[in-house]
Amino acid sequence: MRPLTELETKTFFEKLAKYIGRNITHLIDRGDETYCFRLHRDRVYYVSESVMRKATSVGRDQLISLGICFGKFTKTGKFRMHVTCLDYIAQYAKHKVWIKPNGEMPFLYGNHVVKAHIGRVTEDTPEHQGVIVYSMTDVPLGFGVTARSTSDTRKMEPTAIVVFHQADIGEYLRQEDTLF
Amino acid sequence: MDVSGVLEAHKQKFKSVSVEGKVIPVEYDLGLLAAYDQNPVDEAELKKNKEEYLHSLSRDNAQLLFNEIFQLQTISDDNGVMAILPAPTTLLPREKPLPKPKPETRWEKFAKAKGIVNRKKERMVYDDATGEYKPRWGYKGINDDGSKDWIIEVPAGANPMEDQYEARREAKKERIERNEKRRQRNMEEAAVATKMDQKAVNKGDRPNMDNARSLKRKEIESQILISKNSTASAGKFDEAIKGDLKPKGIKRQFAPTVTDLSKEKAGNMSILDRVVGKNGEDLVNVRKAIKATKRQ
Amino acid sequence: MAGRPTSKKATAKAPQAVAPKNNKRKVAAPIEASSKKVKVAAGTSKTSGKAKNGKAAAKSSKNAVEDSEDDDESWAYGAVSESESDVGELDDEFVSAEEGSDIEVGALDDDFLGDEFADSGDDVKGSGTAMFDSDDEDGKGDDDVEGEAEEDIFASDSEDSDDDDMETKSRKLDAAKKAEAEEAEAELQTNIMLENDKYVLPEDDHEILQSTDLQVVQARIQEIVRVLNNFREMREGNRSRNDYISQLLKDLCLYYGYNEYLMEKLFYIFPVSEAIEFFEANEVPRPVTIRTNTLKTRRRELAQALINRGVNLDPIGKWSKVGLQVFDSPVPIGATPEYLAGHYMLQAASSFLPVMALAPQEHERILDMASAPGGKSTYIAALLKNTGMVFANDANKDRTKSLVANIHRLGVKNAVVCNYDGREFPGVIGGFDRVLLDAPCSGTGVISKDASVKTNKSEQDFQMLSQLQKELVLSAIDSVDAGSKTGGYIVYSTCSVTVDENEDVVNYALKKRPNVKLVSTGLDFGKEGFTRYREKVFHPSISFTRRYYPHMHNMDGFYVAKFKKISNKIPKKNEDNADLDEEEEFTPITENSGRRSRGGKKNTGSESNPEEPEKIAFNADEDEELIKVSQAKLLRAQKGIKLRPKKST
Repeated sequence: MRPLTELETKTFFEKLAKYIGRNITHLIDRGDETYCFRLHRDRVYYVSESVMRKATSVGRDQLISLGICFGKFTKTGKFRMHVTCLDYIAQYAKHKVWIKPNGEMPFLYGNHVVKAHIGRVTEDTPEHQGVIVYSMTDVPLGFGVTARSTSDTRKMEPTAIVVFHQADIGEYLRQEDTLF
Repeated sequence: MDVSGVLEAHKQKFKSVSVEGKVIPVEYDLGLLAAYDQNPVDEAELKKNKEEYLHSLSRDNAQLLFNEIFQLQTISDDNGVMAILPAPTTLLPREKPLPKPKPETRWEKFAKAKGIVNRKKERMVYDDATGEYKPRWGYKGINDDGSKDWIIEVPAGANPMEDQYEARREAKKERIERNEKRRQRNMEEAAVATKMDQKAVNKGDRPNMDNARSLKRKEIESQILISKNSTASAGKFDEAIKGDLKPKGIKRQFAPTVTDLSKEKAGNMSILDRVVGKNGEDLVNVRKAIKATKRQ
Repeated sequence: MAGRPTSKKATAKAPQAVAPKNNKRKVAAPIEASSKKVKVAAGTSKTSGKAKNGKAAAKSSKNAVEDSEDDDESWAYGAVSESESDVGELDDEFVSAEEGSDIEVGALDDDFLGDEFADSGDDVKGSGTAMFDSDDEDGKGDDDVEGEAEEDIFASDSEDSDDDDMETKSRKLDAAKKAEAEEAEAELQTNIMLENDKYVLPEDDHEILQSTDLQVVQARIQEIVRVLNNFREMREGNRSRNDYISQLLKDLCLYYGYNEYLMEKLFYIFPVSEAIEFFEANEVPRPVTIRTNTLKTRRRELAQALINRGVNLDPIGKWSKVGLQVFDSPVPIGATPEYLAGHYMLQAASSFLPVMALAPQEHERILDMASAPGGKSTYIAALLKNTGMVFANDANKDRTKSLVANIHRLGVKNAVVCNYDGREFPGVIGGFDRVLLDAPCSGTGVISKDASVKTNKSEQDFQMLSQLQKELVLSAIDSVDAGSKTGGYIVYSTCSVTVDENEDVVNYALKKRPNVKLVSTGLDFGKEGFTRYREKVFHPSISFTRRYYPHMHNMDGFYVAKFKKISNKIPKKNEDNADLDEEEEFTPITENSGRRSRGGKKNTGSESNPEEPEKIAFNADEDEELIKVSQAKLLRAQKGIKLRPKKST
């Protein structure tokens, strides 16, 4: 466990900003408690200072996880967001997509979101913007990247992909072995 | 016949062999056929009549030099009369730099420590058997290690059937080999030490040979590591040999885990500013907000 | 015949016949057989019509007599092959049988059509009357008769296949019928046997081995239980209780498929009839239960969402405000979007209990020593409302994956997951407000989930487990800070019902750590822990602990104990005994039945008494031989020297 280097922080924030933009400020500077990002085994954890301080007693080999995992750095140095951070990014997301009940299961099986399944979309969502995918009952299901801007989407046919799948909560089951 | 007129005319034709007007006498280095005129140049004349002045100055000085040469002792032979030049007195600068001092060999170091001084020995020594002088070593040298003895006593405890001549030859060969090895080692160590101790070498001193051996070892290790990485896979798929050297990675330095979090926070904020832009996208979609308020 | 239990008469008889076997599973077999043969029975409309007339009619009609016979047989046997062959025979007699499967039946088909009807009918009639005559007679043990009858039938079958002579064949058939009739009659007698009829234990092993028929075994179990419940009056001669019990244990092992060691361990926990209930309950799966994740949703909302998906559920009971019991679901309950979003956790009802007993308070630091797959840890975090912190430890690295997954899925933000052997605490980190130790155990409480426990647990496993549990409970106690303002509690729980893993461990902890005391678990149901069990006597405060049984509470077998740590200092009892105590820690405790505690409060009944220093004195002369032996052993082990044993004088 260690703090992120400057380069790592930059890579991480760049990815995170795709979804929550400047709202990262709220993660860094919280009103309630001091939180920090810590890197452990290539994974970035978002954890309160008190928990982090206690977790330093745990050996490096024995520490499995602390706080909430935001994602991991790949071997090539890129950052990959995990579905585990959904709670936080859903809280601060700027752009959202709601999908109909018939689109829930396909998305939870790792498929892209097609136009036919879209229930609602945040207005003025640009192209290639990170969006949070919600069910119609406002349960966050995952996140993805828009294929087209909202205005372009209107002209598309129902089977066209609107949101590219990035992560979904089905990964808790599908990728339990690799995710953690 | 009065040739005085002719002589006079001839004399008129040439300038006088005696040169006057030299305040400082000209210096000569006859060994190098050189003369050095230390007198100052007449500036006014040089400006007014440059070519002429330089010409006459050169002629005068050349005349003086020849005068000196003609006073030297001469010899005559078939080719004519020749003067015997004295040894040159002027020192000329060296074309090539001085050779650097050779690094100390192990023997030299040992000899210095023990106070062993190298005494000069003659190249040729007297051979009692033949009554001739022979080289101390080398071709036809006396140092044949008794291989030319016509009879050799079998040493105590030795195998009587063993060929003692052969044994001596072998022993000599071995000594030569050992010496060669030492020479090689001295050279390698000298090379490394020279490379490492450039400071002394540049000053013209002998390189410090004190830790030449460990330097040599390090040099070899680094070469091994380079060779290990010099495969197509950069050493990734090569079988590891037990006890083999492992390349030492770069020791990275990270900030301590538990630090002043306010500093960390400030650092993160500045990075965020760079990533998103200081004003960046606003927390609120301003355009939309305006639209919404207008509608109200 | 096997098709006719559906008849009125058969149903009228059913209570009697079924009475001793109220086990649905076993009864299922004959019913299945009967459903197969319904067609055949329907073909003989005349016969079945008569069969409906009841017992009186059966007496007058030979056909009906046969019916009744067959009914009895089918109940008695339950073995499908036999009843099939019987059906074939009978069908031959009344209709031209097409469905007959036996060679014997085939032969009848060809030659006896018509001619033999009368003959065989007469025979049957005879046997039928015989049967009713013998109704009042004093019957022999039912299994004996059954065994013989079975043998006869099989014998005749095998001979028949070789025999060509039809007459002999028919004679044999008659003989077989007779035997069947006798047996059936015996069966009837069993059914109406009076309460205080003596039950005769089978004498030799041969008989026992032969009777592998589960129904026979079950009947025997019932009988023995009946005898044991009223032993003074029902015992046979001077057979001891042990005779009955050893037979019962053998039968139970056979019937439920336990190994003998485990069976003995479990059997003595309960009174005899309750033990049977326990074993029976282990065959039935427990209801699926889920726990609402209060970090993300509320039970009412979750229930509504699941009901919308067509799930049939109900609150688990008054004792839990977060539990839901799922009766049936059209979708896999472990893969709904709500599950993936972390609104609930699939969790056995029993595993709510230790956390409820632990009762974590907000802003506390809590350790879960063996936490995978995280049901309890996440429940703790939910009760903490993501304040304070939870250390979720598990010794198995592979299992921590699911633990981390669940922690993230349920939105627990204050958890640290680590992979230590629990015994390394508090060396890693101590000073917790509360510690939950759901110790690794034999799993005798969750046999319904994992039946492999029945056979794969040996004495050694139990010894090792209880040893581990004892070490774990001590390190759990040491990890708690007694000075904590709100906490200082330790909860010890297992999903096992054996005393070795529960009361014994708790008793050990009380003894080794006098700075803890047991307190009420705060759970208002469950059975009290044993303060004495067989030859062991435990500390009286162990009655604060709670036991849960599958047959009683319809949840997995479970045990919960709650300690309160009073001070951080471990008071030394006696300096002299210090090293003795150390030794104890690493030797499995041997039971010493005669010993009782003299101090009243401190109980040392289960070990070589450390409070008697005068007894621990050595006499070198007396022990000379022992010393020699051990020295020789030492030499051999350390230096490879083998001393030749001297000839003993």
